[in-house]
Amino acid sequence: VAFLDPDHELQVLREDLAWPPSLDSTGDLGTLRGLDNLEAGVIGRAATVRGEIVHRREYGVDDGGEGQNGPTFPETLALAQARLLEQFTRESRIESVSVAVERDPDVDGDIIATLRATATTGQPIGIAIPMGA
Amino acid sequence: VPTPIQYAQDFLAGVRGRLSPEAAARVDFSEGSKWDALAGGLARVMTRLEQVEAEAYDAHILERAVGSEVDAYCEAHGPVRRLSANKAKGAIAFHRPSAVAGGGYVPSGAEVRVPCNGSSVLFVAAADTPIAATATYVSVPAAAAMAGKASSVGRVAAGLSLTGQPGPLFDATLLPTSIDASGGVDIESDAELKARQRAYEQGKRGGTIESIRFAALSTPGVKHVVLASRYGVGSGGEGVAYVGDANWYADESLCADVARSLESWRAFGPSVNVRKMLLSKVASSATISLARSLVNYDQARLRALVVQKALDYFATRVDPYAWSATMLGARMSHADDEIVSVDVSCTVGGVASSGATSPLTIDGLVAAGGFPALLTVYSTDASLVSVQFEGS
Repeated sequence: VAFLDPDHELQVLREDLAWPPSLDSTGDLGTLRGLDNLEAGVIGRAATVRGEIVHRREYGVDDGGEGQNGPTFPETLALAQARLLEQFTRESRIESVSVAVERDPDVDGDIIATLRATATTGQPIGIAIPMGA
Repeated sequence: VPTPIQYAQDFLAGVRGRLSPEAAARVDFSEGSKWDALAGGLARVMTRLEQVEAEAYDAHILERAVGSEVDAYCEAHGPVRRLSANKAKGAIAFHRPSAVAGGGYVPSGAEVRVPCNGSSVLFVAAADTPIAATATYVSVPAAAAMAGKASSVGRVAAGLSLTGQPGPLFDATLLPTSIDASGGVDIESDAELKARQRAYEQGKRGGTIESIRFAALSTPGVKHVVLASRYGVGSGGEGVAYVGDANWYADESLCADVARSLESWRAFGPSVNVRKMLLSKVASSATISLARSLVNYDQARLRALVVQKALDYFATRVDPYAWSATMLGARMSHADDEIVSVDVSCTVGGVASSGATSPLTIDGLVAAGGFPALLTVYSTDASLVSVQFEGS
């Protein structure tokens, strides 16, 4: 990765409140900056059920209910992968993205989504997101 | 009234406006950011407050309305309309001393005055009613000439009189002797109409059906709750809460406890009736193929794992009224990686079944004739799960 100007990273990937809330060294609300913020945003997008944010009807993953309490059929996994990919490509701070979805070996019926992406700043992102099926 | 989107946009614009341009450029306001999600939450609260305020305003208008203003309000706020006045209806008995006069009839429109409470009510024969040549008695259907509660004279057996000559074929020896008439009502008063309109609005008011679930589950002894709402679970509206204890059973006392608990939430939510569940046990028989010969496996251990998966399936369904043999088989197949296929057949009460869903959507309920009196829910026991292994 080429040298990245911290100011440029902040301008592009921006800064947001940390969640769950935390306090910084001055006692103010903690924040996430740059790539950390983008990663938190991506996880938040995957964890949000579509329609949950009242004025963002298209934001979040449509749970559909097909896989509710059901086994992780290949079809269910493919559906989850498509929905996650659709959401991640809507994120304007991501240049390119791919998603792999597989059964969670530890939790029966759950899945793990593995995201590999490149931010518009050129930085790579790799996150594993555990999710209910 | 602003929309939720406008509220959210106003909030975000307000926050941005208080930041320096440099700070505003780096703060994340993108969709799904914390600020954006906060704006959404506030918009939801503001919209609800607007709704509450509008409801209070409407209630005030209805309270002050008089006469036609009440009718106009009801027409603008739903299907409730003022009930019109009704005429009392009944039958007048006519008698004659003997049948020698032959046949004839009491014609429609014949008028009989009936004494009542110091005054009198005029009744009119509703149909031409023949009297047989050999009969001395005829019962004539009649209705009051004027609508109103006063026309409900009940049974009067004295003082009835004909007004005028009904017609040429009327036997003048026939005399009205008694009447039994009821059903006369006055036009609905403003107070009655307002009460019905308020009841309608209260039942329709969007509430927190989830709070109903919470209140029902908070009642000691209640373990299972299924909600069916006239406007769909998740929104508001009147509905039914089906409740059961750990064994899916509810007696009258438990239902009464839940109803009492829900009453304390009534002001904040929809009206909900409490009904019982009916537990039905599913028996399943699974035939399992394994990857290798049976001698390679501890069959007792595998059997226990498969039975546990079946119990887990029934224990973790979101909707206890729905189950699927296919899903059950798929869950069993997760018991061990060596399982190649599972063939499941199920019976409920001795009858083969592949699963059940209950029509808890508004369309399904309407099609099925309304909320069921008892909601059939399904479970199973370890003793009802039979497992066989294929192969040698």
